Amino acid sequence: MVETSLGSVRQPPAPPALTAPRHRRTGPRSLRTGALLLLAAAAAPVLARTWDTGGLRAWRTLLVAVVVQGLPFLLLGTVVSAAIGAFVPARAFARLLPRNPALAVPVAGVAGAVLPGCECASVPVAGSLMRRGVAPAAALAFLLAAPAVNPVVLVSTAIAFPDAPEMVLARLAASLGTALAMGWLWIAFGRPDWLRLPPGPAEHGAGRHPLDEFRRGLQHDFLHAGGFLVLGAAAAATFNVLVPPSLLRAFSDSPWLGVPALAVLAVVLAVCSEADAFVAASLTGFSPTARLVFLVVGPMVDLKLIALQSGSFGRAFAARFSSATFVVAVLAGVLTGGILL
Amino acid sequence: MTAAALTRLRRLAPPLLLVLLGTALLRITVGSDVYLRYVKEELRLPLVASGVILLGLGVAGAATRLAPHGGGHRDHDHGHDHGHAHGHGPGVAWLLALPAVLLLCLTPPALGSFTASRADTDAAVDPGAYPTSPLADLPTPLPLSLGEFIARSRDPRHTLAGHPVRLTGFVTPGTAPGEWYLNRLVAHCCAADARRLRVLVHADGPTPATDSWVELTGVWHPTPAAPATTPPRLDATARHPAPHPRTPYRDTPPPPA
Repeated sequence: MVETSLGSVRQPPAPPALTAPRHRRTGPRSLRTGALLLLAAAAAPVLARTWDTGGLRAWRTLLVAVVVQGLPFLLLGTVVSAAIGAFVPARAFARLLPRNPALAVPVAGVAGAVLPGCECASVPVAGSLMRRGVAPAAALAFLLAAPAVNPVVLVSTAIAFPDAPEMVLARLAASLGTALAMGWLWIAFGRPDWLRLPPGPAEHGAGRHPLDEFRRGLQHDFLHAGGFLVLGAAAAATFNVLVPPSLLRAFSDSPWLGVPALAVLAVVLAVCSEADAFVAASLTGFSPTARLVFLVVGPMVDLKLIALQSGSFGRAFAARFSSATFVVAVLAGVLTGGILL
Repeated sequence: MTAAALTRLRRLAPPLLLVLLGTALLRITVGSDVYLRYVKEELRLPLVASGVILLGLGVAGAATRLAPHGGGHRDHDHGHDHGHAHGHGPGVAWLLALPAVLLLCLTPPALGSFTASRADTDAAVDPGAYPTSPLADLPTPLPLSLGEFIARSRDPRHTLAGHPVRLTGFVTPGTAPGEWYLNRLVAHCCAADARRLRVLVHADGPTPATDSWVELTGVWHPTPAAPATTPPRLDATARHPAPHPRTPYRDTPPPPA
């Protein structure tokens, strides 16, 4: 019943969104989404014919797995974000944090490190923090630190590397360093117009009941971020299925090629920060520094996160911020690895 | 269909998408272990909670929008065509229908031979995580997890030598006749981080079907010259078809006979 009624509902909205863009921002975005869907629809039969069915089956399982894994955390993040939007007074956070953004960055970074959070949850929360007057630099430090260093992640790293407890310290130092460096870099070089914060629907509802605002904000934010989660999951599943793992072996022997190889792997695999230490532990043949880089890059830059960030903050931001974070994270990993490992 | 009815349907679409997704999450978790094909066991409660919240949110949204004058979609109609389309939700949200429909209609199977055959490295086996005590006093054949079998095979004290064991896993083809692999995939968070554990099997008779689950009885065959990363070898003496395990990504020993 649900499916059929949705099936009949699904058809009508698509054409208007494609052909009658009501706004210059809506138009291209819907067009792009439509084009992506068309591309996927066109590619699917080709894939089905040329590709081993096992690969396509694994692709579906991986897509569903990444989405199912991310949804509860994304929902939690959007609940928190919608609650902030509906119930927290506009300047409350700004009063809690140091007025000077350069000082607010470490405070927010450490707050992110203490709170257990997953990358799917931290993106919408960081967005709502910015809407509520938190300096973008501080919110971005929180965004990076929350999934990368928190008690759960550090414990799983210790379990995955039973013979190398220094890995835990190295991960903490390099990840926190990257988060703070990115916050400060944003203060130094960031431009406000790169950030495009879509005002949540809650922003419009002046005078509406807070609960109704909360419900609307939640529905809107969740659907929006959820769509981008699927996009990121599909990209990660595609890489997982298409890129031969033996490609990695070519890089594992050289200490200098191993670092960029694992950094790129962290981006395309999009593994949760709770589990990436176990993946790193299985990458035998790579230097400890290369594995550390994998652990530092993964929770901060991966396909799922880039998709979520471009949904929440705009593509211009996601492209600049993710590439800068990637470079800083690799440098921090190499530097920390050189000292500690 | 009139334009008004169309607009109305369009407004109903986002809540219905939430209902669909919530139903999908509940379907794989309530009275079903399907979710274990994708994520770890600890995620069941968060998934049930998410399903209930999404379902409730969708129903509340649909009710608000269906109410003739309530809920304020009227004040939503005028002056709100700026920004992205709030009325019918962001277009990218439609992508969420894909996993929801996959879960409700196709329910993709757990990862298997494709992933296990492609992996280039095996999961790291920590010898400290398994007992190393001698097996002599224990029953034969002794049920072992693949991880313990691999860890013991690398133990310099050779505790496995001559002791019959039982192992379960799924089959992938080997490179030589009479030779194939028994595999497990181990995941810590979701299927995307699944790593392979495997044992090389030597057995008489035809190779079992790829991806089929089997239970083997056999004895460890030492291969002293092989490097530490090669899978240990089991010379199988008996094999039985085994049921699919409830938790496909946990390396559990076979149940006692």
